Amino acid sequence: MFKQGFSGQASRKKNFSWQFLASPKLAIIILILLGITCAIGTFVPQDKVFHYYTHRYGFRIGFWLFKLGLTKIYHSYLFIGLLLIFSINLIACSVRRIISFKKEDSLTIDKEYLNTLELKEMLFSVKAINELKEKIFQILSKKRFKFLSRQDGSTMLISSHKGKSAIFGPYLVHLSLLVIILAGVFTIRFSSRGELKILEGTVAEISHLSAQTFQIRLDKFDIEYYPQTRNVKDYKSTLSVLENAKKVLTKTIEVNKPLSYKGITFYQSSYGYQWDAVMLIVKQKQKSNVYKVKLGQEFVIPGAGVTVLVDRFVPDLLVEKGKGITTKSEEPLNPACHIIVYQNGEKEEGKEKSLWIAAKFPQHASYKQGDLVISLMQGVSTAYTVLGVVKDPGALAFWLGSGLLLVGIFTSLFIYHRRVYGLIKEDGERTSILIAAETKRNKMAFKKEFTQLVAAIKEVIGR
Amino acid sequence: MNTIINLATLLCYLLSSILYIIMNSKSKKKLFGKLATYTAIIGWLLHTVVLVFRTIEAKHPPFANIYEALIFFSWAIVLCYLVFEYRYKLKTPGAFVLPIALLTLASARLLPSGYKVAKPLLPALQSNWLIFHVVSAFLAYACFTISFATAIIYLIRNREIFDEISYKAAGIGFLLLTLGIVTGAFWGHIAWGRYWGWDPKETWSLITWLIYAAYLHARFTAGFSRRKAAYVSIAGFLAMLFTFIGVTWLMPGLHAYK
Repeated sequence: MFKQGFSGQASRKKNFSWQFLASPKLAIIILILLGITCAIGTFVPQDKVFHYYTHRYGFRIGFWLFKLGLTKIYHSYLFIGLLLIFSINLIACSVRRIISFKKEDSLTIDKEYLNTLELKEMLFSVKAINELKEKIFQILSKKRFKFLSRQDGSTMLISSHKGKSAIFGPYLVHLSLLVIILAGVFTIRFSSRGELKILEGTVAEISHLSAQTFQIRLDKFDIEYYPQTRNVKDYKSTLSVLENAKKVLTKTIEVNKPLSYKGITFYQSSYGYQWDAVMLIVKQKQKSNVYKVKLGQEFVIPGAGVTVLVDRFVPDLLVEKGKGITTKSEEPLNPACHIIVYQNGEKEEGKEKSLWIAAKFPQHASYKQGDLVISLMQGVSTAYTVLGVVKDPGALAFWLGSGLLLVGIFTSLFIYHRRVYGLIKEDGERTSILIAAETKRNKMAFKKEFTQLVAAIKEVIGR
Repeated sequence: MNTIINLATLLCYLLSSILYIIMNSKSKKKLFGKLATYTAIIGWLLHTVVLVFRTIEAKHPPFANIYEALIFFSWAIVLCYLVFEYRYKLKTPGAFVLPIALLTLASARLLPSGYKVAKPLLPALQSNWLIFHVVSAFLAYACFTISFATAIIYLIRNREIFDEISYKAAGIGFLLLTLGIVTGAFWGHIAWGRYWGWDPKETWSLITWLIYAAYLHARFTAGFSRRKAAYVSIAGFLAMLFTFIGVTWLMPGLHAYK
């Protein structure tokens, strides 16, 4: 019944494919199909190698999952095809709405149609048509309705409406979704991302992402723990941007606080330590010395007649069956190193002694030979930061689309278009006034508004 | 003290649920209805105190693990329900919604104690975006719960007003869910440099969004009957439940509660 009022004179030309492409039914089908496709992507693990799927699901199922692109579903022809039809549908629906709105003329409305409306009230008065019209116009303008009228012999039709901006809501939503889809295409097509590991005090060249080269230097890396624990509270990298060896700017970044320069953004991703050396405690004849020994370099211990080579270091010792010795974390909670010791000048296969020594267990895990004891004090490290390096020209379009989407949904939800008609007829001694109204949304709230409107009109027209 | 307020909240919701149910089936509707609403309001105020205490204890907003999330969800449900009851002057849905809030809160209390420990926040979560993102998402969840309850009542009683409330709640929920997704995207953008990553939670919130988008189009533009549309709303609620609970338990990802 509503269609008649809003778009009764819409084109009668029936072109099946056009009608179908512009139909909200297609929109619903596509929305559901997109939902199902997305859901498959959360149940079938994505972006794994072919063998993973044949192993997990059996050859035949795994083969077809892979072949049909369900293992890279968000980049599959299926998904892209759906998005394409969705976009066409969005455009077609909007075009159809525009066409049907253009042809609308509320004053040519069928008078019988008013009697079919749910909200209506018949009033009577002894006043003349034009006087009544003026009174009703006053009320309508007080309630911020826009109105028109047309006299046709002894009848007068008033047509008024309010909240017309609501009709832009759906356009805005549809447009914003197109912008978001385009943003996604831009991101997939033109964005690039990588990781950058920079040691404290060193410089990294940024050239592959940007037309202009510049450098990033890690001036300082800081880590903060929650009190009395080793739980990381925060970590920060102080970065300097250099151009032609000159400092352009310095900024401290952390998680959630990136640095942007020339379209490239640097995100704090993770961190670690490069273990360069160890401090060894060497005890001989009641005398104790501490030496700094670099990893992978032979070191002759003065006065002891032995040479030591440190070939591995782990900050947080973990002995796992089958895997041997690894580290539990990057934190120096239980440092240990592997050393090879031999007598000076006797570097021969089988004559050296190799073992793990651990700083926390000097009693058990140290090198002991006669009165010579070599134990580990600590590791010596340089911190490094790991940065996510991203260039994404689609992001801006995404924010634009998201903003429009929110405004569009808000408009569609909270502003609603409603029409109030008045049909004034001279009928001998008295004049009859039929007030009728319609709306698509918010019928309950509108019913209240309508009742108030009728009461106000009743008051001014008299008996 | 904390435990007493917790139990008092549960008790209020239990009492309120019973009163709403009695109101729906017996005479003296006015009296029982009033009592039901008052106990729900008292329960909700106590619930707010519980959340404030938790925030002070944990030193972060009270929705960082599944225990806190369930408590917060229950709080949001009662808040949204009371707003809708006030707006539409209709108490019938209370008999459905209050028991849901009660069950949610009780299930939080029944979690093994390991889940209840307040742990410090990881660096990525220390952001004001956590508040915007989570609050809008949970208010959306709460609105969808109201929409679900009223859709069911509509299917049973066949009165137009319930369909109207269901539609309105779904609409507001849809706006809030969009806000939740967009703020999440923005947060992802400043934390990792990507606004979308097909994380299971992201994907399932998109699925929920798609179903509610279908629902909002079903009635007016596609001309579905009210009954048919009500079923779509129920499907949307199930997708939302999976987004909230299912993904948390079944699928690893950025949003897995630690």
